[in-house]
Amino acid sequence: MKKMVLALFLLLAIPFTGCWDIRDVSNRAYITAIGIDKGQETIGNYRITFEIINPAKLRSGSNPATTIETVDGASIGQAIEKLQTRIPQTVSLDHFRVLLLGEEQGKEDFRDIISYFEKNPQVALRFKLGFVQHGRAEDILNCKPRCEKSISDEYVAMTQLEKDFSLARDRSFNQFVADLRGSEGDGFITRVTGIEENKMMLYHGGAVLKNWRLTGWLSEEETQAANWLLGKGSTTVICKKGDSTYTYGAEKKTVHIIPQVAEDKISFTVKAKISGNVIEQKGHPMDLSNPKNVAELERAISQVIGEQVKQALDKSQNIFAVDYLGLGKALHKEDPNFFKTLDWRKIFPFVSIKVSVETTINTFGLTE
Amino acid sequence: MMNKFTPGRWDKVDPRAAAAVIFMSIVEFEIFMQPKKLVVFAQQDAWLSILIGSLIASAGTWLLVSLAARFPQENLFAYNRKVWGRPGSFLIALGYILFWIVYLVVLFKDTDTANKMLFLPKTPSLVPMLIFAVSAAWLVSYGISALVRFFQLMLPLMILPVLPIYIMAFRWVDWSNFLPVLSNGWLPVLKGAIYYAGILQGLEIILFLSPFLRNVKKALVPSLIGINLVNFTVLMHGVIAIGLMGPDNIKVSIWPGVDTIQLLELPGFPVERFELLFTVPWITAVFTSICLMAYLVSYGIIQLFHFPWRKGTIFFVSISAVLGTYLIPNYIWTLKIREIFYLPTLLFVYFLPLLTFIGAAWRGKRGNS
Repeated sequence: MKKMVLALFLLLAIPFTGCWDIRDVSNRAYITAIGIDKGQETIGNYRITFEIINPAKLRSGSNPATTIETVDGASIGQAIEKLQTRIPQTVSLDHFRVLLLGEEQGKEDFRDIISYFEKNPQVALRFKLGFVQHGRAEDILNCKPRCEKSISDEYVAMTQLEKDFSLARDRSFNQFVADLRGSEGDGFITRVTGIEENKMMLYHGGAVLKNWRLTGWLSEEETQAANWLLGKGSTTVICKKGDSTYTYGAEKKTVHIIPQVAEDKISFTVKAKISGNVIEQKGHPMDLSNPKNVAELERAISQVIGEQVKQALDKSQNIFAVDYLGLGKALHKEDPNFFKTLDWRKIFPFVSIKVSVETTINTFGLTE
Repeated sequence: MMNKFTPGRWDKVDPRAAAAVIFMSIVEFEIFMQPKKLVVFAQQDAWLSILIGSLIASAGTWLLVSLAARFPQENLFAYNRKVWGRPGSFLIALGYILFWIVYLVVLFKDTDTANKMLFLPKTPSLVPMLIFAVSAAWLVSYGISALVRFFQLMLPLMILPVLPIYIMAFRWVDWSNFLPVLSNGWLPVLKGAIYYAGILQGLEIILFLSPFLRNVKKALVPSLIGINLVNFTVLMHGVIAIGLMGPDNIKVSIWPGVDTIQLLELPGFPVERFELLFTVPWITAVFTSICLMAYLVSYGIIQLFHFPWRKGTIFFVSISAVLGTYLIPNYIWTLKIREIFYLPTLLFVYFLPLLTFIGAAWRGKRGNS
């Protein structure tokens, strides 16, 4: 009998263990995106914008199904506490998915932002991160979503479904922080811009960080060029050959960064092997059933891609002097002990880099 | 003294159960923490430390089974008297009990902290901890046969939810995180390997399970399967953690294992938080380890001090361990204890049994078959 009573007690106790934490899902305010802008020092260091799922809007089917709130605070934690004064449900970061940083905030030390998200057990560190050019994160979060129920949904869909999209640099928060930690704060991540007076959000281009601070921007074309070295996915290349203009869709690429050290002189060879298809042609067409013409076109495409890679390297070495393309990482893998002896930041702008590109055309669509 | 451990006819356990017992005894909350310490030692080569540490652990398992097979009807505390004499064996047994008590308290503290951070932040710590303690004491009071059967039943609950996560995680592993290989030479890797071998608390159950096995010699292969199942789990978790997080992120994380699972995503799939799949294995792993430690401490005290109150001792030990968590001022201290706990583990799980084995062989001591 005693055993039965004890068993009953234990069975009953288990489901009631968490009564103190009971919160119905409808009583939670899920923050899905946060935008951080630089605030005025008199009212707090940050101006933080939150996108919160609004259950009432969700039920009524209105678009967006979210509420946007902006709060000033000395820290992110304080801003979230202040946010609670405006929201009737318990604020939760369990479904937090997007973090945007305004341009001015981006120029501040990024480590100050990392801390809150890494410490918070509610946050899954795979959330997406973007830096806003020519504007504030607040403006982007106030854009109206066009294809999804919220701006964060739209942003996540862009990054998840077109993961290897060459005009942007997709990295999750965790991946980007790992990049920065491995390179003393140098890295490259997606840029976000608002167009038509912030009616629409664009996910394109790149933001370059040096020593944990935003140092400059890459355009779509420059990001595409950088992605020849960093990205994996398909890329479109425009190549002029004679009177014709060909659009080449690169599908597979293998890029090797080969460091060479001779008498303490460091040089690199970037070898790229790319295969893809001709997807469009303008002007007087070449006869692509002739293998000679195909080989000529392959050489021309290789030259175009080679130029793009050189431009990307030039921008990295001479404009920013930031190794976001991973040359130092390649040298470190090759000779870690030698790499430790170097002041890589100082040396990087002066190392010589050779580029070799080999392109193959697999098919030219359904017509010759 | 031995009558408490003399098994009845129906208490005998099939030696094949050793695999489940070892796996369920060793795997606990630490699986979420150890990638950090291994990476601190060996950086991106932590996986090599796990592989070499696995060899040490396998050798240790062989040693423990060989020692147990030499005295098939007795447990370590009993045959220690033949090898070390009365005072020596008493001190060693006292050392083991202290080692298990500290470990049990740390286990409760870890469970409480994780519970507060991840699941029930506002619930008073005492409530879930007492439920764990009372349930564990209840199970332990039925003896090791009940414990073994419970471990066998729980094994699928531990493994099945974890496998799909491992398979899914491999898709996201960035293999460049493992390069360069051996950039700091072999020494850090070997240090990591010794550390790894030293976190396998619970392996010593072999020395206390043996009198209950139908044939101790036949337990060698299942025991090796059990320990290597643990090694495989830790290797998978380590590889996924390094591959997904990178060594630099792991170093600053408290529970890289939890962070790793949080990083998984399946685009377009409605489930966002895959770490919830780890809830059942986590609770199972922690509960079985608590049960094992409560068993070892309680029966150790009963055997050593000839206590007649079996149930009373078990409940007293379990509840005292819960109260013991209040002696640890904060979680930093738990981490500090965890950091150095591999040293006593090396002593009690490998070194003392090795000396006992050598001593028994040297003096020709052997138990009855």
